[in-house]
Amino acid sequence: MGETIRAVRREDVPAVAEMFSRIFMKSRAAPGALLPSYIEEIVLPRRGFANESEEPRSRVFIDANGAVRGFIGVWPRRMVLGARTIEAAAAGSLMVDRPEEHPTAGARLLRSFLAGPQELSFSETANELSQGMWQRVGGERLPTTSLDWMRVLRPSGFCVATAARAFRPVAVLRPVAAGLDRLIDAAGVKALQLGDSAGYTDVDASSAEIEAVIPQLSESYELRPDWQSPTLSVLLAHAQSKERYGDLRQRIVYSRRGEPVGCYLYYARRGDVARVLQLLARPGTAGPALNMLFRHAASVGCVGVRGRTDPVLFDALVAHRCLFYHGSAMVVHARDKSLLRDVRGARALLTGLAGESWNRLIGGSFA
Amino acid sequence: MTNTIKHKVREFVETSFLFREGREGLADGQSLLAEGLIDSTGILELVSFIEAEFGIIVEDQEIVPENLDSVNQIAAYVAGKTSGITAVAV
Repeated sequence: MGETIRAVRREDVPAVAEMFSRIFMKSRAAPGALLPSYIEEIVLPRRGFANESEEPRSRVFIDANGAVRGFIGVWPRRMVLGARTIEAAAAGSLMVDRPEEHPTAGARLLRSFLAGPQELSFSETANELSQGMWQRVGGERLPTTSLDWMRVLRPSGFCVATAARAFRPVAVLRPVAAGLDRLIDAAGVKALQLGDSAGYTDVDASSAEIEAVIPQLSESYELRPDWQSPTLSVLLAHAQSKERYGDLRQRIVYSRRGEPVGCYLYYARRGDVARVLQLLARPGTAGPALNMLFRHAASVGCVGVRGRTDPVLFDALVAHRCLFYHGSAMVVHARDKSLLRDVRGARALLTGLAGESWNRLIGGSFA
Repeated sequence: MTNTIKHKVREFVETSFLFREGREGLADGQSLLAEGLIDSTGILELVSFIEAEFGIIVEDQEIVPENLDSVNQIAAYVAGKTSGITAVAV
């Protein structure tokens, strides 16, 4: 039997989970039941997803002995580009076990994904190696969605939280950092002061309320999900079940006239850096929405906020003194080069709920 | 024919992998993978080159070291494909 690439099957799930646990979660122990169960849920066709009646789109690499040695997760979704609907698919969790023994597996998995039925392929989590691979097969990086941003709210707490990520015992310094930050706050350091959002209010929102406003607020993007396939409620349910980043806060920003003009969803944990899953705003209100986010994150004890750039938010992020750095990249590929050109020129919503970050493989602990 | 293919392949390998790595010599039978000259990105670059230069479609199951690991193997694979014979057992 030769090496082969094929669609993932139910019987592959334990091997995929074991690989994922070892490669991405850096775990030496075998995964418990939760990770395989989640992988099965997310890679086999499910109600609410575009592929519910099709064979799984995620692919596995099978070695000559019949063992699963590689995987690429594929999540199809329908999107709107201007006036047309396109079939797209996001890919992530590309991994190869013992790559030295299977040097062509990663390349074959990526090519197999790109040869799928989707018109547009993308990944928001491409590392340096993956970026190179995508670019070699005609894909492109979208610079405006390939940057992460960070806003420091409490500098001492931020330093401690950052250090504690590498060395957990440092977290005992949190009370000291909180004291220092109160002094810094009292000194009124201009660079740390938050802006004014006069005329706007923000309130907690239920999932139903968020599901109602996200499609409206994403209309300012020329390329965006149709939010039907997969359904927003399914994506939100996944996003709400992550454990590692804290609770998912969902809030809507209203104008003075009571119209929803923005919303933000972020994971918050006291003493830690908040992670934004999505921030959407009507044109001209990205600044107030960001400001509302920062104020709320500070009010629940977060020491900083981080998220992913996008073309609609970029100017407001700069104006709000955010720091930018390059982590993972957004890469796109289309066999139709005119589509690729259109995507490159469009204001594109491809991250967070629109990309892969809703799924629990990013941010789940499965413990 | 094979010599022309080998010449083009060698030129591509030298330009794309050998000089980029600051290396000088490479025998036609030497392994690109074992020498660390090529990785997953390089494999894709090589496949794109083969498809564009020789007008053939490299099938997924043909992307294996047996076809792509040395100048000789690549040239033999391309020669087989262009003459209508798949060069390797899949």
